[in-house]
Amino acid sequence: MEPIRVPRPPAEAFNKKRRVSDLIRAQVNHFKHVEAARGTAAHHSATWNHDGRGCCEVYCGDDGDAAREVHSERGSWPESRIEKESHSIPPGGGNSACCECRE
Amino acid sequence: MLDRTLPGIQNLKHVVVLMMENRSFDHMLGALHAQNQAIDGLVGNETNPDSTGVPASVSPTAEYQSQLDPDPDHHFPAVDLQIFGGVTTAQNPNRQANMQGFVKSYFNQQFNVAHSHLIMNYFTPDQLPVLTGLANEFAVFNRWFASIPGPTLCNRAFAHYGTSFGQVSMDVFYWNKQYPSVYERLLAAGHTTKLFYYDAASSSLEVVNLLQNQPALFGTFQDFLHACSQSQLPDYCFIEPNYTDHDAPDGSGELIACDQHPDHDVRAGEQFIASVYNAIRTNPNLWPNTALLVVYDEHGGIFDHVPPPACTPDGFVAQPSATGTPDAFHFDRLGVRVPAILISPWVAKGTVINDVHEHASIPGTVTDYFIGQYDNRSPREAAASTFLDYITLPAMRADEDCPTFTNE
Repeated sequence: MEPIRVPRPPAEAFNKKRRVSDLIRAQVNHFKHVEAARGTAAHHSATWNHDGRGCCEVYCGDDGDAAREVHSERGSWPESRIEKESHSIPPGGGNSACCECRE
Repeated sequence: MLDRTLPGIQNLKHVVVLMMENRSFDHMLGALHAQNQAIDGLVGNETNPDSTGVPASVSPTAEYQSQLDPDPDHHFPAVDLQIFGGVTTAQNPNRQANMQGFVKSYFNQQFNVAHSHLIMNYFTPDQLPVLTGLANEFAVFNRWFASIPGPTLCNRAFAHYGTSFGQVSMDVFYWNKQYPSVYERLLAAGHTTKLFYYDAASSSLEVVNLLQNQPALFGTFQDFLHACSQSQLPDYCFIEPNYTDHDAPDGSGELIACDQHPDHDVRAGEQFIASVYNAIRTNPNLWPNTALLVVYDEHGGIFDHVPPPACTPDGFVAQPSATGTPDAFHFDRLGVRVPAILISPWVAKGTVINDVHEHASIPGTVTDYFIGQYDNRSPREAAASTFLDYITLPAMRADEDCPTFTNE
């Protein structure tokens, strides 16, 4: 059987300015909750505009304790607290999700 | 009950699950009905009324990108509208799922009648050579449903835990976590398992809930490819696609989102599925003893014609404040149907599976196969159909009988 050719997306399909998806918003909520539960310095950066467009850069370092702390708690931060918040981006690696968006 | 005497099962060492994002069965595979009547796809005369009452027909004019912007609503209230056509329980306590509310639901986002019709579009097989090729060559599920008529994270929870612990939203802090994840079960039983997220920029949707298990549990997609090349796949692994367009963390270039979540380019997802398949398919030490399931987490608000069936309640209740509807939800009905394909050289070409499956089938199957008797799981998972039962061929298919893909 001959290999089946799979078309690739055009270069313009790549768009870092795309609207932030619910997935990324939820992930930002996760990390905000981790931060709130730990009461530590920012592990993420996130800014949102009212229509859902925004910029986010979330980090979670290799710290299993963070997840342990949120395990027994419920709920994410209300949207009103997410919007317009901004924190500095921490140095170094860890898991992150990033997206940029420009009005 | 799985027949463990079958040669394909006796050879089986690895189960791999790739979960993509937000596309319905009819949208991706519905056109296959014209080629194979056993596949419960589209006849072509399916319609939904638009906001003016005019029927909007399904149309083979789906585009890889730019049609489904904004992202179709797939939160609980919208999916309730999509499934029940706008009939509420107050209007009719015995309302029936009719799949007549997709166009109305999409209209609610832009109040544009013409744009709302795009939710009825579907792809032709030639547009999706990977997904339709795999569906034709291996086993396609006619009745694999999302676990909840709601969004991504609660549905993905069923793939990891066999329940969402009462949640129907994107709020995934499992505060009442009485059932361990399938990964924790396997690790405790001495098995190897990994959750491969795409990279350090895309991360994992389960990172918070399962982070306590790192580094034992997590790996990147490059780790997956390396494991395949070294013939060191774990017993069970779950793969997450790239959820964002971003620059490669190592500076090597641009990485396009390949999850197929609207409005990401569907071709990137096709290439990603092909890369996962090829990594297994081209390794003779893995191909004979690996089962790959490609499945989508939920329908993403896109039309499908099959009403979701009732199911075993999982013991939780989401109150109206959580569902966003006048009614509580007892987790007694599945979500909308999604594409699902089982791939193995021990699966007969053209297999069409009609048994009902849902995402709780994933931990259910994996636990049954690798651990056996296991009681600490949700009622939904305990009742869910397993999916290895279709690895039934008496002899492995010849190498030239199984496809390979070349990414352009």
